[in-house]
Amino acid sequence: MSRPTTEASFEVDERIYPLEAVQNAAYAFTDRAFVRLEPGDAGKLKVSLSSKPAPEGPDADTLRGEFDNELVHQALRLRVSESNRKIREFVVTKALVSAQPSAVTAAAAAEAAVACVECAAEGAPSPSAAPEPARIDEALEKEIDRLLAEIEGGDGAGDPLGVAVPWEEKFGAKAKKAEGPKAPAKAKPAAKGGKAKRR
Amino acid sequence: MSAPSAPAFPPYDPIKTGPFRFRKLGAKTLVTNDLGRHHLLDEEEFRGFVAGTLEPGTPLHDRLAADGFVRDRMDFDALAERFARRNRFLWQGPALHVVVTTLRCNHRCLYCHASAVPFSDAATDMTVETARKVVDRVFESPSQAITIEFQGGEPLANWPVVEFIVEYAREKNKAAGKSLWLNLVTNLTLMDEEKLDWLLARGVNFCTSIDGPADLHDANRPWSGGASHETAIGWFRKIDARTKRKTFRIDALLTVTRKSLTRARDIVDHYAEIGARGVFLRPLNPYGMAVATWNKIGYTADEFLAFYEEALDRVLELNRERTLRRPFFEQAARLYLAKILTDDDPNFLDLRSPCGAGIGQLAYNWDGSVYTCDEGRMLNRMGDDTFKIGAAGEGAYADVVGHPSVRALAVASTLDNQVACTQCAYKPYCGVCPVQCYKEQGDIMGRMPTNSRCRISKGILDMLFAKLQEPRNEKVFRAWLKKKKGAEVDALYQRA
Repeated sequence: MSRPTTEASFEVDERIYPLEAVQNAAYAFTDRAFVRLEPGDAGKLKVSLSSKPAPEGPDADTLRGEFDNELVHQALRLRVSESNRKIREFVVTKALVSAQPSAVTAAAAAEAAVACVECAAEGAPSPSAAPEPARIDEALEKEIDRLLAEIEGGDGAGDPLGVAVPWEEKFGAKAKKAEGPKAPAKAKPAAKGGKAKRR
Repeated sequence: MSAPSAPAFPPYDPIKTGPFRFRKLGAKTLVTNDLGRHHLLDEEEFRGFVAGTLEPGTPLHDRLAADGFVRDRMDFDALAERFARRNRFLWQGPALHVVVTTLRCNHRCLYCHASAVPFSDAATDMTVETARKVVDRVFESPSQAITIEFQGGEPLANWPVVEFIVEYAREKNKAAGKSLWLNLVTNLTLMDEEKLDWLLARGVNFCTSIDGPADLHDANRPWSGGASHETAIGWFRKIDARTKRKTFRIDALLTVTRKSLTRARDIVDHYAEIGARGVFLRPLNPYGMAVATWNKIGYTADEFLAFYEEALDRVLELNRERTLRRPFFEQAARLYLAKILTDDDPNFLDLRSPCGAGIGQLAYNWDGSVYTCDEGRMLNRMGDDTFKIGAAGEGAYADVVGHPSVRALAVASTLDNQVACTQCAYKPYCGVCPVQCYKEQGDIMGRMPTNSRCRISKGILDMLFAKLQEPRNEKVFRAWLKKKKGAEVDALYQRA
């Protein structure tokens, strides 16, 4: 049987906890309580918690105490996030530049060529028609500017990752079309590895 | 006015302490970063780390520095390289192509997520003409690795189209030169020797459902044609024997229902007994028949987690007993552990940011309609075509993967856009399913604090990090991740 609903209402000093930390803590609490935030006395936010029905719901002190702890955690998370934002962005942007489609597809084409059993069976040339990757040092500054401009000004309508470019357009030199099934192919193993996802 | 008192928290040094996320795990605190590196710190260590008072040259400081946690000791080239490696799936394009050859099925599984139609109803069989258009579209993907996964219904119910797709895909690949995988997801009850010979000769992989011992399996998966379990196990053993030392094989997985909850050990022991490489414990999802039967077969996230832990403990026990001829894994744990213990990402489409919908996978329904993902096409059967993004043979490939629904799902499943996820210590190991959020919570962004999938993911990760603290468990976990020497081509979507 569920315990009766527990209510806790208190104020949070905005000089200690930024509004975003209070909102994040409130959001984290939506699994166990109904949460209401509203202006309190000057410089304060009023928090009202009403526990959701649960077999072993918390008492009011526990509910309040857990919220206080969550506030502390969220405030620290916010500070860590803010003070390291530029470092994180730099690492991610540098990684994005180094993994531009040209570089990635060249490496992936080489991998696929090894795994393509049909190629080996037919003695077909390696399908590594991808262009040479750009040299990172030369491209870095330009690409960072381009990516940042894209992020800031874009509407998401582009294809920065190149995932919308059809195969034959991307690897045109290799793209002769197969006509359809012929006689059953000679038995040959599939590429190695495991399944991605099944039902 | 007096200054407010400082919160009871260790001082934080923003100059020395680098980016990290944290989570309390019992007496310890787990710290992680975007590179997937992690450390479990006791209270004193955590306070020292946050305050920036750890002494350079001490083992803990240097380990944290090497893993990118110490701000004034960062090797940006190395960090960027690791980050790029973990996220290299971003540039690949759709590699998994789920093809529904028919919605017909001879089973009536209590949880059927695909909403199969009666076996006699051939109206939903894919035609050869449609199949040709589907394969043509599949090969338009810029991905170097392609997996065509036959699903249904029961795909073998439309055998001529399975044959056609296998042959046509192999033929097309002579020109394309991709790493091509073919996976047949089947209940095996329509298999015969002739079909098996044909499929094995063409290197087709198999995946089947085994829901546990016979009584449990047959209760979950009724088949009017006979004993489903007995038939499936018979073919499983036969295919397993015929694919020994081959590069293709058969695997099995189960869907956990309420009936399974008290049978954790039985299920694990059964998988070990039939010679499976491992067991994949998958919770029910809110699609298809499972919605109607939820009151009978459903359970809470916490009930699933209790079951999962009992099963995982049994898996670990079996590995420690060393009575099996090879490591025996639990696949969900193995996927997470690959992300936790290595710099590689297994690229499981549900556990990446953004998820694979439209940009990592496409699902082709029997009529050639293209969906963002398998979940999206499941919703089609529930009368909701929100995630239909085109059709094979119609329009340009770029219009399909550039469809507004694909873009919306990519935004919704990028964890940096998720309020709770962006601050979560498990962010580098996790992923959200926006289609499931949409189905369960009414919008593709979802709300993680009350999201059942989030609760299950966090619960499993809590368990794994707790168990990792015991060296004997870590030894087993690392054995699951060991690749056979020279056996793996490192192609995305095609690694075990």
